[in-house]
Amino acid sequence: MNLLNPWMLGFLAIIPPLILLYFLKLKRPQVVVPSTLLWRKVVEDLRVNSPFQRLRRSLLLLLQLLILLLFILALARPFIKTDAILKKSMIVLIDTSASMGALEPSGKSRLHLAKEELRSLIDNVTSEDQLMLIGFSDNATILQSFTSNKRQLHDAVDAIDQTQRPTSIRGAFMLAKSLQRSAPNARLAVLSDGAFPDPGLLELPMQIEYQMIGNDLPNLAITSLDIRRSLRDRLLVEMFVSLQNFGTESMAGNMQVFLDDVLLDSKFVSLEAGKTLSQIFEARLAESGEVRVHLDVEDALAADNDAWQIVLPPQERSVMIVGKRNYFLERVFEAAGNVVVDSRPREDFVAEDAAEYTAVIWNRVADPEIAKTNNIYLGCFPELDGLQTGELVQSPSIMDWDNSHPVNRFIDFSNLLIQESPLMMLPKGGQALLSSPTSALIGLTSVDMHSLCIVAFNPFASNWPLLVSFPIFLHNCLNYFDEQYAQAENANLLVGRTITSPAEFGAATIRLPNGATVPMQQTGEGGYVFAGVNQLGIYGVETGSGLSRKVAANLFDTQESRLGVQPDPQVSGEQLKAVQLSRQVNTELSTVLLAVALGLLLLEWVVFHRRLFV
Amino acid sequence: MAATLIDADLMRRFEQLHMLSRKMAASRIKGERRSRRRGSGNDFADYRNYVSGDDLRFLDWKVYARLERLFLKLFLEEENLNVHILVDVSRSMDYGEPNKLHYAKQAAAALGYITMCGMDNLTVRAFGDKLLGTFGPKRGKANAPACFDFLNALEVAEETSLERTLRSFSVGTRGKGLVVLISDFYDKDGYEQALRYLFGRQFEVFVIHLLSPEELAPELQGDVRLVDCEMADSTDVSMGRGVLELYKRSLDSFCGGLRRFILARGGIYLLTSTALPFDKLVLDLLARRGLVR
Repeated sequence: MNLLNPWMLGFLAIIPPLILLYFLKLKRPQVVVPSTLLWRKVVEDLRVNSPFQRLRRSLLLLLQLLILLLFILALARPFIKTDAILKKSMIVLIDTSASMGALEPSGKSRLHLAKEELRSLIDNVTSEDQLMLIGFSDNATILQSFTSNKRQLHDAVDAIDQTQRPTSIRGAFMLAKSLQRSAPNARLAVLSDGAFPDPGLLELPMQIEYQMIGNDLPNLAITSLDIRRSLRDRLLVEMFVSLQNFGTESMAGNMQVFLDDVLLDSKFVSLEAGKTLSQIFEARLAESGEVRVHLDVEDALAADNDAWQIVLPPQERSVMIVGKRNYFLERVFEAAGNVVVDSRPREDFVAEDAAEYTAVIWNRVADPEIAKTNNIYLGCFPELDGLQTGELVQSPSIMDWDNSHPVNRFIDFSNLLIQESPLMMLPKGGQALLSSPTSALIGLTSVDMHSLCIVAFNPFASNWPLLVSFPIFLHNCLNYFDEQYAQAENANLLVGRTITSPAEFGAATIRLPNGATVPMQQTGEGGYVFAGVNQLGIYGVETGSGLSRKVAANLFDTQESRLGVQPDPQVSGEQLKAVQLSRQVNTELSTVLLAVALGLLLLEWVVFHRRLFV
Repeated sequence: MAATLIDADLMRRFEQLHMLSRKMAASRIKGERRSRRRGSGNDFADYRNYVSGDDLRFLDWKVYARLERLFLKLFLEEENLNVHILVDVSRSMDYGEPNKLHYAKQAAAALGYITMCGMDNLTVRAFGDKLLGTFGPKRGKANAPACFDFLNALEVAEETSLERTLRSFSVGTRGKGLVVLISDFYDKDGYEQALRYLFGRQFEVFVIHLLSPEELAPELQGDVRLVDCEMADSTDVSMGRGVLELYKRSLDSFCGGLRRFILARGGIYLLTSTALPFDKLVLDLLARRGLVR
């Protein structure tokens, strides 16, 4: 039993004065009797016991003390926690994200604890109650619709699987909100470790009861693994591994790097609490490969101790320059050494050949086409919906460039002097990389998964070829096209994302990291998609046309790796207060105490006036 | 005056009663009761040899004629009964509803009237901490009004001292007789020694222990201060069922002790409540106990 107003117990100090007053107020009425001879004997018998005899015998004082005690207790507002009596519907959101897989000191995972909590809640469900279970990670699914059937609810709890997905609770809240219409008075409960960002404005019609699961736990995690082929040597693979210690004490362990399951390197790492560490590994790889980094450390969460990446085979870089030959242009690629340059006049352009090249550069061609690869237009414009050109502007000044874009990396356009440039309006979705006050000077857009980079002005009628930014720009373009290619290959993704396969490769199946095979779902557009990337590791995609590729799914989510529980996470800007869900009903006893006190008061009145027992 | 104690109807009924004594009458005064003493009565008792100095009137001349020896005829003496009624008029008797003192006066009046009608000697003595007033000895119905007046005129005394009273009574009373003691026996010094004086004088002792209903079953409640009406003494008692039970037990033991003490010495003990109509006491209870017939 707890007290809401424990300071009210200070009124207990009234009791001694009451007892004192009781003795003082004993102005006994005098009764004349013929003799006190016999009474004295009686009193002697009584006084044998103790001076408290009088108290013991005084029912009135006892009643008054009891009433006073009850009133004081009632003022202190005692309450007891009673097992949940739902008395209505309740929607329970249960977190199945990666962080719920953390092992608590008891040896049970957080999800296991949440399930136990849920089971005890289900055990308290009566026929008047209804319970709905929704599991959530970065998406939300109804595990069990409203029911009072305990067996169904227990079965649904048993079926809850741990996922390695990140957490986004907004979807679960929106789902609950939509379901709340069918049960307007339903309560909403969340069983989670609180590792979720504020879902933003929700306008939930009900109060959220949040039960925190788990404790603060130590964790050393791989927070990122980046793989790229060196720009200098396309056969050299550079691996960047980032680690972070999310615990409160320093941790150490062995980090092992495997390439195609062969141990490539091993390093002992030690991190102070809260610190991050980056490590670089290198390997030569002429073909595609599979890199796995394993962190051999004993911490609470195993999911972030492994990371996988698929290394794509090196792409041979080749450009086709269509139009007038230009020394500067050819020199830029020749200097790089690893780019094959094919210059040909406009009339020799064959659309079929172009697909083999990394990019086609249209150098001031009157009627440039859109080749089925990446295109760079220098001083000319393709026929593209939404792309508009206007009058020439003389000596346009450079106003701004987007230096966050990969293509503009390491480039300073401030020294660029342009003789003239036509006004250019990019199509919808296009991005201006360089702008004058009136128009975009360099734009980037995409058509059919290929990038189109349009330089509106004639670079050779400017000082650009003489500036260092010119070769860097072109190389950046090629790198950007490579990245786009890797993204298009969809080889490395975060858990929870979807794996796609184009329609032209035919029906595809997915081989899960645990070896099971699942067919991919066909979308309305004909392509195939697999949305069940719940586990970490390497997925295999096999298409009907016999092509197969691998996809690596990683966690890389600091929110999930940070295993400190959130006692009061924020929802819509307000802090949720953690409650004990299955026992969260605080039954106040004040009313009962007052009722008893009132009853005793009546009894005292009767006793005072009738002296039934005195 | 007499009407306040006994009404005329009762007086007529009492006239038919007699005081009974289990012992032979022991008065020096000639009366209507047969005595164990040989003397000048009408009933022949025995013969004895004549010795010089004997009254020649009682010589049996017929026997002398036959036997030529002098025999004296002895007759049973006829004496009257001395009845002493001792009435406790201490302050403790002035209590209860009906009032114990009034009740005691009524009882004394009734017994006195019966005594006087039976031509026995009646002495009525009131006492508190000492003997206060005396009526008698008188006999004959004609003295009844005076007796009633005496009783009516009795006033409440202060304390009770049975021992002092009964000692002076025993010492100051000649002869034997019947002593009717009407009291509540509330004496802080106890009753034992006092009664021993009576029994020591060979009195036939009849004790009427008079208590009011308030004393037999008190209806006190709550926390009270009990004040003794005789002594400046008080006792604080918080009444409860247990307390009242203890009181009753104490009262029982007190009455039982008194009763045993009296019976063991050949006396008669009668505990009565003032709630009992006093005519019933006389006509019924006292008759049954053998005091009147």
